[in-house]
Amino acid sequence: MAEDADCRKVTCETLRVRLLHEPSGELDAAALAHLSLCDDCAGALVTAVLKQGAEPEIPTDFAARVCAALPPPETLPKDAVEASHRFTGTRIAVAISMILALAACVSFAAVPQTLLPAGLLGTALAAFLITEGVGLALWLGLRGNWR
Amino acid sequence: MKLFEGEFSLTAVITPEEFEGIVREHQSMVFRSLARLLGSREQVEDLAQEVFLRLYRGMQNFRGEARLTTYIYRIVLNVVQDEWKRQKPEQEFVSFDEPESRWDERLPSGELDPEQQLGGRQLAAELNAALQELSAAERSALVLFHQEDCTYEQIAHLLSLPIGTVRTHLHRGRKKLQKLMQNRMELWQKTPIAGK
Repeated sequence: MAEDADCRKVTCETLRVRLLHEPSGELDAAALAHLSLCDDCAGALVTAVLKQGAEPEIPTDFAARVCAALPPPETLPKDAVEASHRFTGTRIAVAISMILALAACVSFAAVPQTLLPAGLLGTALAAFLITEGVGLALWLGLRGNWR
Repeated sequence: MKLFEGEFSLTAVITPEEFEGIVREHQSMVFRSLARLLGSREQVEDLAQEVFLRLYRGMQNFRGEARLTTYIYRIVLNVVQDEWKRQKPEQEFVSFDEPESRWDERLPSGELDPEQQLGGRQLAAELNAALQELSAAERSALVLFHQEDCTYEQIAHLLSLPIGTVRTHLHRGRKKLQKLMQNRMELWQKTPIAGK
């Protein structure tokens, strides 16, 4: 049979190699005959063509035309300005808390044994301030999310 | 995919010049996806413009939780979905095995050239036409996976589907496409070549 003869000319291996190197290459009658009968190779062909992707021509001035059609910039909503202040406030509160925590750790480590009670008092005060800072940061952040 | 976090703060107002840069960076991906999903190049430019206009309007609300590319893909899918609804509001997807599907009449004329060869362009055109025979989810999943190299997780997020469903759509879509193309190849072999 002519169809069987065509199929034998093209094997799965030769066709896969061809698809790998030339996914957009020509497919002759023998290859078509093989593909119509071989599910695996037909699947490989579909995958190869899909991977190759469509390459439509993009006008060189497309980006410029899109930007020319953009609506005029809107003024910033009040919420956006407040969000900026909250964001900045949160960052400052976190930074202050970190500095205080570091200072507390350093001062506690440097306190002599005889002055430990005073060192503890200082550490408690620092911990109180740190807690205040963290609370402020959380409050600023959460307040924004609740809106 | 390029991570775009940190480029815009909550108060960012992007200038047209900055946006033009974004358009240039992603226009190829948008055009490519639209062409494949729609199976036609006729409306690609108009719809691509629509994608970027929607992106610009949405930039105020984009807070960097996801990659910008993912955000653009989502807009592309929404635009394509709207176009499908506009073109065929009551499209029913009929299996190609059904007699009433007449899929072969909807495919482009697949006459081979005198040398009995199927060129790459014609093959791509046939595949694009065959893609239109699939369901919207199968079509989108195949294009995103094979052409755009998206992962299962990304496709699941974009299509709002479980990962298992995405895998099923990919598997079924591939099988259907394969069968469609094989049937088409059989038809080409049996059809005598038009005199050229």
